[in-house]
Amino acid sequence: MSDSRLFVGIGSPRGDDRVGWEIALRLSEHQGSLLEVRCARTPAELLDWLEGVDTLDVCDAVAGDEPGSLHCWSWPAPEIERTAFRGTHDMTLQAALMLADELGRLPRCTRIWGVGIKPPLSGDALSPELATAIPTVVDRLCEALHHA
Amino acid sequence: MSEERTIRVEALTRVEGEGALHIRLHNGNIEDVRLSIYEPPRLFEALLRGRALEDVPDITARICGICPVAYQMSSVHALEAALGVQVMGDLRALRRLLYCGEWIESHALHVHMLHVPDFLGYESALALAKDHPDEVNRGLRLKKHGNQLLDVLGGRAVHPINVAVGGFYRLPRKEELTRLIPDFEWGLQAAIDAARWVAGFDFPRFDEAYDFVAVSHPDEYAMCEGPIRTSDGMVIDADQFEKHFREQQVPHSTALQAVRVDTGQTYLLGPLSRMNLNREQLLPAARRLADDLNLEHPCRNIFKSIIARSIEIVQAYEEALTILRDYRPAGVPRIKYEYRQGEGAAATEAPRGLLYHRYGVDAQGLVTEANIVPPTSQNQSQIESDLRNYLPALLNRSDDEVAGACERLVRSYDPCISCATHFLKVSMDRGS
Repeated sequence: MSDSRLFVGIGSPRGDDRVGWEIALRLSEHQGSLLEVRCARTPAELLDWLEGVDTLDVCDAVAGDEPGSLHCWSWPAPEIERTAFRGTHDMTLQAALMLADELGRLPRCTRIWGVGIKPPLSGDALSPELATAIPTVVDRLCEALHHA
Repeated sequence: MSEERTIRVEALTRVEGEGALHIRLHNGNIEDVRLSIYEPPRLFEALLRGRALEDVPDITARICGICPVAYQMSSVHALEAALGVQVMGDLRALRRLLYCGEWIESHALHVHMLHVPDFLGYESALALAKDHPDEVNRGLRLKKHGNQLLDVLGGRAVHPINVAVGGFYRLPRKEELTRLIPDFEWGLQAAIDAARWVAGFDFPRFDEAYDFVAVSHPDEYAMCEGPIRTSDGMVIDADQFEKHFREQQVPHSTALQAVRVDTGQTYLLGPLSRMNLNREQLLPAARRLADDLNLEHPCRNIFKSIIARSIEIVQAYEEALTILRDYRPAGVPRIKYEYRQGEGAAATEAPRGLLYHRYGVDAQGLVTEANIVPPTSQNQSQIESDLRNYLPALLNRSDDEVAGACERLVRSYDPCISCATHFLKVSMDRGS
């Protein structure tokens, strides 16, 4: 029986903070039948979606890094405590994953993908720099997900 | 030699949004208590002017990610009052169902993730989860049910988009609601268990002579409509709100505070006020539970808001189940209306208390004026008053302990500072 796989893009409608959503949407076009793809506005939403999931991939923006740079951490990942995930979410991504882990809800394979953006966030659209980088990011993610 | 003491809490934790509290003492006397909200004003009212009235529920929903339905409900009821239309029957029931979803989601989140750690001595929900995983899992499952209702009925779980002036944009199919029933049957019992759990906590002794204020309705536990009642016997229609309640600016907060016009005094909104004023209208299981738990009537201890909030989760499940079982989709999703120049006001019960909206509209259907008075901004001055009265019992404690106790009191209000504006920190000055 194949694994149940979930990819979650976290973001907001504001500028480059929407990068998690953009990537989730493009992945659903590329890999719609291979994994479930969702968009979240807050990391806490993850807690509602984990039942029966074997592999979880979460993508969020990482502020202050080179736009379009891609980072990956496997959970548990103490490094991400030092990473400035962008957003006005009530519960941080780290806290949501830690809580899920503590409650035994976290899938046995969980990875966090961080995509670099440059603050400040402004307007609705992605910055041209990030928009240009996204196809490459999606290709790299598709490849990584394919080989996972 | 005079003694100054300052206590600062840089960031109040486990509240929605951010702000600051500053406490200054001189020779053991409380000189100043300020709940400071210093985030820039969000200017939603100005932003709404000139917009089509149909845009209002979706724009005001963005004021808060935790209680967007409250903003949608107050806005559509106020606009419908301006247009001279009234939503009745199944559409009215579906609006109550949507509000039940928000109460469940918001209350379950606050009770289990933000407030219970105070009573059991944990720093956070994460620490609580280590020792009480079943209870935290239960809280998360309750919250999920609320979000599911918002998703099905509102179009999405956060910032729903299906509420329209006159009704909804789309009615749910029967099976979309029916399939929620088993979860809600489980949730009703789980919510009762949760309420019994929190009612067994130890509560600080702190009884205040509150002026309770809430929307009230003779036939139901008020959510969406009804006159505004106060515990001193005043009963007014929502369109009289601004004659009886006055917003006022204070130098230390970008959110307006509020007082009664006739007395100049603070007043209390939220679950405790609703429970005290509307207890007779609770549905049977919720009412029985309130009696079983020996919740005083009236209860004047703000720390026991967690009990009232938990009983309201039961009430919301009970009502949601009735509507889910009875739902027969029929008719149009929203009633028609004609544009006309006018003004309308409404008050509904957000999870944190009475939320007032007033709009002026012109004959082209554009908004000419908007006034939004959120519950947390109204409760601000009551929180400051509570702190002034609570602090004397704390003064022989360390600064950290005082700050922690004050934070705990503030959290009893479940303040949604994001609604009022956005940010909260605490500082305390003890003059030495």
